[in-house]
Amino acid sequence: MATKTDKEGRELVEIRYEMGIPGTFAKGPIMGYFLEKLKEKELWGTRCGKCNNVIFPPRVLCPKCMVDMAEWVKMEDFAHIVTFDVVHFPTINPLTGEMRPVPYTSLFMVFPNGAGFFHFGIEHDPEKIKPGKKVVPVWADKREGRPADLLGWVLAEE
Amino acid sequence: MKKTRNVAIAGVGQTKHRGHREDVNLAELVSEAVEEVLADSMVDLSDIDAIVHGNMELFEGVHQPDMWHVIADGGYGKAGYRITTGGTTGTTLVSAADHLVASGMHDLVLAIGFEKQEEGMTTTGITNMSCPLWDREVQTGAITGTTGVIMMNKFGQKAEEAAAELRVLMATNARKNFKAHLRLDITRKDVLDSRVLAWPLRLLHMCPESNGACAMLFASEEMAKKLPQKKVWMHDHVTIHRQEFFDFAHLEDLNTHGEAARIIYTRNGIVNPIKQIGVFEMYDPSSWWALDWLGKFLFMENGEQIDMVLNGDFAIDGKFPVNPSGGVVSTNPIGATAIIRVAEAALQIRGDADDHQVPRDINLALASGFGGTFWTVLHLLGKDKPNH
Ligand SMILES: [Zn+2]
Repeated sequence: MATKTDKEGRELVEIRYEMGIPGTFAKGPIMGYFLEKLKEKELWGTRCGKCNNVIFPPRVLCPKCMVDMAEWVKMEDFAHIVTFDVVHFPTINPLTGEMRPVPYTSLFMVFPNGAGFFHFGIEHDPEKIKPGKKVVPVWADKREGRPADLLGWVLAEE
Repeated sequence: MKKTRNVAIAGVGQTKHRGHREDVNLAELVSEAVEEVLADSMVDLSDIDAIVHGNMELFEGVHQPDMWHVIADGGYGKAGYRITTGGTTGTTLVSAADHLVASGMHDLVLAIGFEKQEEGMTTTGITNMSCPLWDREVQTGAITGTTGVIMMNKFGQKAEEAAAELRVLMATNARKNFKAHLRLDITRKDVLDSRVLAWPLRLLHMCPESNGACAMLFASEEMAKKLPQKKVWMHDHVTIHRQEFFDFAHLEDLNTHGEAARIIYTRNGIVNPIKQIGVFEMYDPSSWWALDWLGKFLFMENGEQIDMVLNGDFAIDGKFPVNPSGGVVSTNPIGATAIIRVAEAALQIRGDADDHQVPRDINLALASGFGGTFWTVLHLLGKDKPNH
């Protein structure tokens, strides 16, 4: 119990506590395959047979056409930047409960097959990051089939 | 929109929105807005048929707060449900209340939006909306400067000046609204000198975390005739979203505001929104987004809104008043933020917005809500009954 007072000197009573929410999430067959493939440094999406769009990460069906995806598609090992954010405001990672170090970079990217996606950039200098630049993935040394296996994306050597 | 019967706003109530409200708990905060809407509409709690109640539960970490809040809203034994659609929660509350009355299910419906952001951890709540199998790892909350980057590339320095000017205008308006949270006395230079959150987004461009609640009462036409308060009529509303499937490769696909506006204007014979709509309470989470979105709502493809900002056209006495309340950059108790837009638009039509009243007759008002997954809810209100 902490005690504070307001401007008029009245006592304000507060209770402080930490709430932990341990979670176990079923991957399902589609995301299960995708996450397993991270161990081999491979990125996979799915293609809709009707509109031909590739969705990355994969989904079991196309949200626009509401039909089952026709096939698995192995993504190229590079993408291009669409736009980006270099963020200087610390936020928490709800999967670990830890604050993310700042600055961090969010990249909006597109694969050569047209699939758009969002992930971390390793470069934090906004002068160096430009829409259209080519980026390649950076992998964790030890990969366990979890999102954290892919650390982020770095500008490709020209 | 086809309606079985007309729906009127019979009253509004809000707390003063503040950065600190340690003097009350969640239920007590909600009760302040409820007491005000009862006084404003001159209705007794026992007259209300149903209650729709909404916030972002993970923000405070209180699940099913509507159970606790029956002591604040008289919900014991009454019909109703809980709505939690992110930033749009408040406007979705209004849509739901409108449906409940228009359908003939209920004659008097109370909608309540609230948030006590000093309790709990907002960003944790926001990031938990993402799929835990992938997106949650990279979801970081609502701080983004990408719109600013795009506008700077397209329109140059003028866009940065206009975003800052728009923030100054919101501060000027908020100082006229004693219920607004941030009532800052700032200049363009202050905005441009404030610290960078995500370039070119700066601290003063961004909305605050506020504590507050807002309640509105919706009545059938029959019931509204018996109630003393000046009526404001629900004309139309639409919800447009992309859920989690927004396409990062084609950012133009994210124009849910433009899509919503096109539908509302077409259905309601609005060919010149600037002329026909008297005031717009727009959900502006940051001044950069506001600058871009004014162009989307008004179909200005060449950035004409930038010059309008610099001309003062969006001021309270300007050509097209936007957020006389001070907007979201001044006040942001998230579950209440969007319903405040509708409540403020209704007060403007009534002529009851006190010091921040637009100095002319308003027949039509627009109010928007915005949420994380490019989700727009747009409401059109009117002084006269709609012609359905
Ligand atoms: Zn498809």
